[in-house]
Amino acid sequence: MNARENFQAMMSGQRAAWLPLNVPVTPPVADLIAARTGVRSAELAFETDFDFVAAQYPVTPERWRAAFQQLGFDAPATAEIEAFGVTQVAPPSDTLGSAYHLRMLLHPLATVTSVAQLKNLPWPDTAAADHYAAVAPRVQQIHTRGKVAWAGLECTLFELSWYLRGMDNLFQDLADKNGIADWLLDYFTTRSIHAGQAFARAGVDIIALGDDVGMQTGLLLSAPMWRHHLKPRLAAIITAIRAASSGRKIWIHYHSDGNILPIIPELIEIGIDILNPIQPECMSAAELVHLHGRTLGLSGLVGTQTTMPFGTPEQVRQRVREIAALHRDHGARVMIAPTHVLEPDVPWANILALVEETKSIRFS
Amino acid sequence: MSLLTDLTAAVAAGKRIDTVRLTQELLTSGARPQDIVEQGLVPGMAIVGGQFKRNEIFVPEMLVAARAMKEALKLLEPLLASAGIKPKYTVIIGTVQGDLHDIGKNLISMMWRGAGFAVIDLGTNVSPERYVTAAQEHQAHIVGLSALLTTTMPAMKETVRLLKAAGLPHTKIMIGGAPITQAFADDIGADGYAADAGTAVDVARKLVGEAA
Repeated sequence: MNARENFQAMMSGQRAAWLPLNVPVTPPVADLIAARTGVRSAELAFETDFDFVAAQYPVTPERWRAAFQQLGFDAPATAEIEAFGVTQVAPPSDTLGSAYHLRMLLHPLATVTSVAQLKNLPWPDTAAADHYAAVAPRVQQIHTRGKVAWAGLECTLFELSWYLRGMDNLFQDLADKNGIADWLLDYFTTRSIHAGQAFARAGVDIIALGDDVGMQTGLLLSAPMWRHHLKPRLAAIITAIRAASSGRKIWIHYHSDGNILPIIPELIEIGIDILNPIQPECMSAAELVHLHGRTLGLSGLVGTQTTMPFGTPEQVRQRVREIAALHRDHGARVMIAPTHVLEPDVPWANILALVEETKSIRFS
Repeated sequence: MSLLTDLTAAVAAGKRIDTVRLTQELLTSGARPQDIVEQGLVPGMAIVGGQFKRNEIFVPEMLVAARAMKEALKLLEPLLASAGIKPKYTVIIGTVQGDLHDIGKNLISMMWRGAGFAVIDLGTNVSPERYVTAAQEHQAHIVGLSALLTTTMPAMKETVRLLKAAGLPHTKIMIGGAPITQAFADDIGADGYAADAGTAVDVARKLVGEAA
């Protein structure tokens, strides 16, 4: 049995041979892995079960910079402007590394006052096949190695919209019904449909959607508001992906930080197969297995706010054993990972404990 | 006075246009700006804070209400300033050094403004020294520290240490953020911890000696 077959067994509700493992890391931790193992990639260094594919959209910072100036926003010279106009500035000190979440996010579309202004921006044509041409060969390589091909489409619609517009402005748009937030959400829904269908046709196993709609204490926005603005768009993306998959099973993985308990049944209803990251600090994996274990897979589960940075190696191992027991004793569909990318404050011994304990467990 | 009651309701519902209109009407009718703030706007944001704590409303409604109040304050603040009326309490807030996240910090900032505090927002990636300087300069009643990342929790500890060492007997320190707990607050010697923006107002009021 290879990693892909094991994953398929796990997520189909059969007995797996082991816990599929993913170890996402920040660049400083990748540096640490390189120093310790001679290989910078966590996937290779730890022989994890997954490997990743992504679309390649043209990055045209000068076009965006000029367009932003027309809107009255002067991007700083040091700003990095991504394919969809998301604009970030690295911190003045790089003592904590330069991972994406350690950068300052600017909101270049904060001054937009009309949908017409949005339409004039240099958005990539996300339907163009060129962006996805490298995906199928890469998927083939991954499958040849027996691994699970994972296509990332996180920041599916809500997060990219507010990155550009600013969260307060985006919510004010929705309250004012001025069309601006809806246009952005629709643009990124269409982008995700195009990309998701291309990934499906290229043979990927997992398409990872996600937008953070949870806080530590509960939902960021109300369930009715989520139902009105985000759920139908997410459902449309999943329906389009399924339509493009020619009946082949693709697992839809959905990420949201925080406690999103009130909307989990509806995520299942619209076709989410695997929920991530199940932060133990605010949601109970055991409770989710009890409530939804027959229909929902769980991914993550090892806390990066507690166990990974602050626990002992034995506590990390204990957490891995608890997660393994969810599959062994309750038939839960689980894949194990830190609940967020590993930060520079995670001790090397804890990273090793996560990997070694996961690999030491075999289900008979 | 029904206009004040209406204003409170308009702020709580995030009705920006109504909030500005009612504020203008109150001013025209001769109401004192400080009464409009204290009896109209602040009670409105108190409703918002309570609803947020009870999960009856969420971040969007809070942001929209805060924006409504902000628009009203644009009319009132010049009048308050020219009359020499200042908020009773000054609070300083920022995200600690190394951390660039500002959504949580901004929510607290809005709610503190909504409670009638003068808020000095130092932004993100704020050094411990800068907090101390600002606390001294503004004679702050509270310094609020925010962090989203576990990697920046040590910066929070160092900031608390420096603030304590600076000898600011009237300045209380509050902390918050996704990975932060009461136990961590106790461990590093912070005076208060709040898990959400609604609670942050209650904790701040208690720290300055007012009933929550």
